[in-house]
Parts: sequence; C-alpha cells; structure tokens
Amino acid sequence: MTVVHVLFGTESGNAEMVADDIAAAFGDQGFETVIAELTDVEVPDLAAMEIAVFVSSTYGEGGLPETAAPFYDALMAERPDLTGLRFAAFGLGDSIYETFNNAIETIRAALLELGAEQIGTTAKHDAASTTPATDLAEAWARDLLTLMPA
Amino acid sequence: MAFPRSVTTEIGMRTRAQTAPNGSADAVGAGLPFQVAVVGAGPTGCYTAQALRKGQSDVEVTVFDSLPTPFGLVRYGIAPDHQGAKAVSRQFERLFGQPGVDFVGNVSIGTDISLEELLENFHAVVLATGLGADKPLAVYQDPDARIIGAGELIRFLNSDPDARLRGQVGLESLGDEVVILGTGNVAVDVARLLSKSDLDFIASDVDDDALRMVAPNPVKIIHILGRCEAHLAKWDASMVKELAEVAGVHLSVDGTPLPGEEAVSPRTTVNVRFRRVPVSIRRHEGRVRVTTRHAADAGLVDHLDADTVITALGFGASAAHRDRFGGVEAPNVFRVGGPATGRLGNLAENRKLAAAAAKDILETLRAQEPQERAGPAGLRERLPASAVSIDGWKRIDDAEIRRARPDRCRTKFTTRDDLLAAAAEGSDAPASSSPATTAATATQEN
Repeated sequence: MTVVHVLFGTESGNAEMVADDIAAAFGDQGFETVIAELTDVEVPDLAAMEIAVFVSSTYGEGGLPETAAPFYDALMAERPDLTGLRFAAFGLGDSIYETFNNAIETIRAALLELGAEQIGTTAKHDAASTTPATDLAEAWARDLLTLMPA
Repeated sequence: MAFPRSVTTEIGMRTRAQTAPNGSADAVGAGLPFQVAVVGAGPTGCYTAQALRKGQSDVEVTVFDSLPTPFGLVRYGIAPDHQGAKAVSRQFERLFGQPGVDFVGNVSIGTDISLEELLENFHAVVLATGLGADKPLAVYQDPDARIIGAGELIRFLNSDPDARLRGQVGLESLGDEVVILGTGNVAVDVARLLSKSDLDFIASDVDDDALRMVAPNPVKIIHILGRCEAHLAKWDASMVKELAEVAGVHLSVDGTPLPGEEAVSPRTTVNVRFRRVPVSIRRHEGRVRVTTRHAADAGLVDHLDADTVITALGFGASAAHRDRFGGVEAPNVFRVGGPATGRLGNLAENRKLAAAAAKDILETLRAQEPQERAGPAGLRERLPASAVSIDGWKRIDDAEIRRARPDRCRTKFTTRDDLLAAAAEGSDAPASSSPATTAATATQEN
C-alpha cells in the first residue's frame, strides 16, 4: 500500500499535534504513515513521494514557520518535477491577524506550480474559533480518506 | 543549600553529556523508567515534559505547580482576548492524558516538598519556574505615585488568584489617561486590553469584575513610551496592527497616524513615542508625572502627566524563586526557559529551548550509572491533602466553562479556595489524589 507522508511545519507545536492526528486517522484505515518535520525533509525525497499531507501554521507577518522556511527555500531553488506527487493541505492560523493561514497557501501554490496535484480541499483552521484544530483535522482527514485510492 | 557545585546546570554549558553513549531503554536497570520532576507547569515546563516523552517510553514525568491549575502563563499571562494563543493548552491536556505523565498542583517545591526530597525520588529535576515578576523601572519613583506592573495587571485581568491587585484595598480605576513604559508585545497587550469595549471581549475569558474595576470604561488616552528607536521596538508589527484595528482606537507613532481606518472622534487615542528615556516618576497635582529625556539629547526634557503608569519592561524571577532556587547548582538539576535565559520569550522560543533541554537531560541520564528512584510514588505520603491531580484540574476546567458568563468562553475562579473546591467537587477523594493513583487512572486515556 502507498505510504502517506505527513509533513509539518510548526512554531508552537499545534501543527505537530494535528499532523499526529492526521497520521493516526490514515493509520487506522490501514495506510502506512510517516510523520516528519519539514526541516527534516530533503527536496529530492519529496519528488519521490506519491502522497504527502502538508500541515503548517503561519508565523509572524504571514510567513512560514521557522522550521518550514528552509524547506520552502530549497524547494523553490531546486524546482523539482513534482508531477508524481499528490498532496493534501492543512493550515493553522489565527483570524485575529490578516495574514491568517498565509503559509499553507504559500506551500500549496509552490507545490501546484511544480506539477503536484492536490487532493481534497485546503483546510484552514482558525485558532480564534472554538473548534479545536484536532477536531477539524479529524473531520477533514475522514473526508480526505474517501478520496484516497484503496 | 549544601549541594556540590561541580556541574553547571545551565543549558548548553554541559560537557559531560556530550560523550554519552547511546542509551538503551534499560539504562536504569530492570526496565524501570527514568523519573523526571518538572517544577512549574507553565508552557516551558509542559513543553519540556512533552519533549521528554516524545518517542521515549522509558521516561516518566511529574509536573508540579504551586497553583492548583496547570499551564502557568498560558492561563494567566497570555491576554484573555487571545484565545487562539491560549489554545496551545490543548497540546498539554493531551500530554497529561498519557500514562506516565502526572500533574501535581497546589504543591510548592521549597515549602510543601523540598528540592532535596525531589532529588531523592527523581533522577532529574527541571526548574521551569518562569519569570514571575515585572522588572522594575530603575529610576526615581515617588512611593505614592501609582505605578503598576504590566504582568500584575494582566494576571489580574486573567483571574490569577495570587494577583496582588486583587487584594489591594480601595483599588480604583486606572483613570482616563495612562502611560505605558516599554514597547514590547506586553505593552501592546496592555494598551489593547485597556482600550477595548465590552463588545471586543466577546468569546474571551477576561475577568469582567477585574476589568470593570481598573477600566470602568475604555481608557481615553494611552501614551506608550519607548527608549529605543522605532525600528528597534521588540513588539511584533502584527500586534500593533491588531491594536490599531480595534474599533474606536486611533493610534499614532511619533505623531504620525498609523494607516488604517481613522476614527473621526476616537474613543481611545494611543500615542506611541520613541527615544524617551524615563528620568523620574513623581506625584504632581494629584496625578502622576513621568519625566523623560530624549535618547539623543539629554537636555531635551519632557513631562507627561497621567493617572497611572504601567511598566512593561520585561520580567525577572520572583523573589521567592530567587531565594529558593537562585543559587542551586546540583547534578541533575536543570533550568529551562526564563530561569535559564533571563528572558520570557514567546511560546515558539520556549518550545525550542524545552526540546534542547530535554535532549540534554536524556543524554545526561543515559550516561549515568543506573540509580533507583521511586518517582511520584515515593512522595505519596508527603503530599498535602490539598494537592490537585489532573482529574482535579479537569473538574475546575469543566466548572469554569459551565459557569461562563454570556459572551465569555470561560469564567475563572478567582481564589485558591474556589479553585480547590471545584477540584474536589464530585470526586470521591478530597481535591488530591496521589500521583500513583493518577498514573493508574490515566491509562484509561480520554
């Protein structure tokens, strides 16, 4: 069965918790999952992945988390062909700030530009809402699973 | 304290651990886990516990706090209208739901339980006691001038049972005109909290009684004074933007209005001025006079009269923590977060520091000869009856959410007695349950 890579960029740890839950949801359905922080992902490795779920918070003025920025920079510098990659995207942000969920959009745009195909909708959790990020992640992962090849 | 002084305990200064071999899960012998005590259940203590546990099944962590509630500054320091930031506590709730991770609240290390007792029962002790005191302004201040620390004020608005303002007899409104000294994010928090109307606090957990006491109405004029150049201000631009976007607030920096919607007749005017170095704070005609000199020209002196001065100049260790832990240097005692760096830092920074500390702690322990430590079970007889377990905290949490006022996500209990009563409510045992009991029930997950 296809390996599902869950790749996260985080500042406060919330995105990591969401990544854990998404991986667990896929694991429960029999998928083999690998969780990694984006700092530990090499761009050539990404090109070799078939399915990746990106989870990222937004930092400061709409920037990528410190742990995701080097990965993004490397991605844009190396510009690999990602036509073999299907990805899903889950963002975390706080609507108090106008750059709400900017980072996941940045990552998503880069992946699409490099030929990757998105599965499902981009989830955007709002920390200012009363819904815990993990609840949204659970519901979103459930929907995503219906779109996955068996 | 009579501890050997052979090993430095500051993060990053340890050398012995760097030669550590790869430890095995059985390093303690007989498969017993490493027992780590964390003093302080604030974000740094919780992040350290989290990092110690991540992927380590052979580490058990007991997190102590002198308050009946966990999460420290997440609960009492992050502004009550920043619920998104406070949501980080969900990570820690999950942490304390794991077997092998305990919370012991309402127990003060150094009074209820000594540090020596902790060291007898745990392989390592982590001091994550934070920086609980507002840094004072180091210039002449009239003892009668009304000067309040930003941390104290925010604790009060966050229902901290130990907030000194709560006990202050005859505490009245801060007045219509307030000076805030400092240009960090905490200064912006104070300005925002004092300039918001009731509607702006919807879905927050602000202490309405406290807020009405210090600001029956939004403060009319707020002066923020910084010593530095504008571009060196420590605050995040996004925080200033958020303040400027509060309806009815007009914000200007050194006389230049911040672009944005300009209120025709603002409810609150916020004037930020940089390069103002405080010289003295005196009583003047029943108000407070802040005298400053220009950073580049000492001859340029300015006076600003207001009703209250709020200092937002950073934080230092509280006197109690300095007395108890300041001189402690012992093997297997580690400092993390504020006590190690001397600065408060944000959540992300402290998460990183905690991860580094956890790595250091584990390397150190794995390099040592196995020793037997009882962990929380060894303290069972020693804990006061009023200790609060994680289940006790859950009862407090539920009760606060249940009793929330309309338009508030939570209404906190404001006294230790009320917190302890809520912790005990409906439980079979008194507020306490021994850590051993908690560990057993925690295996049920949640």
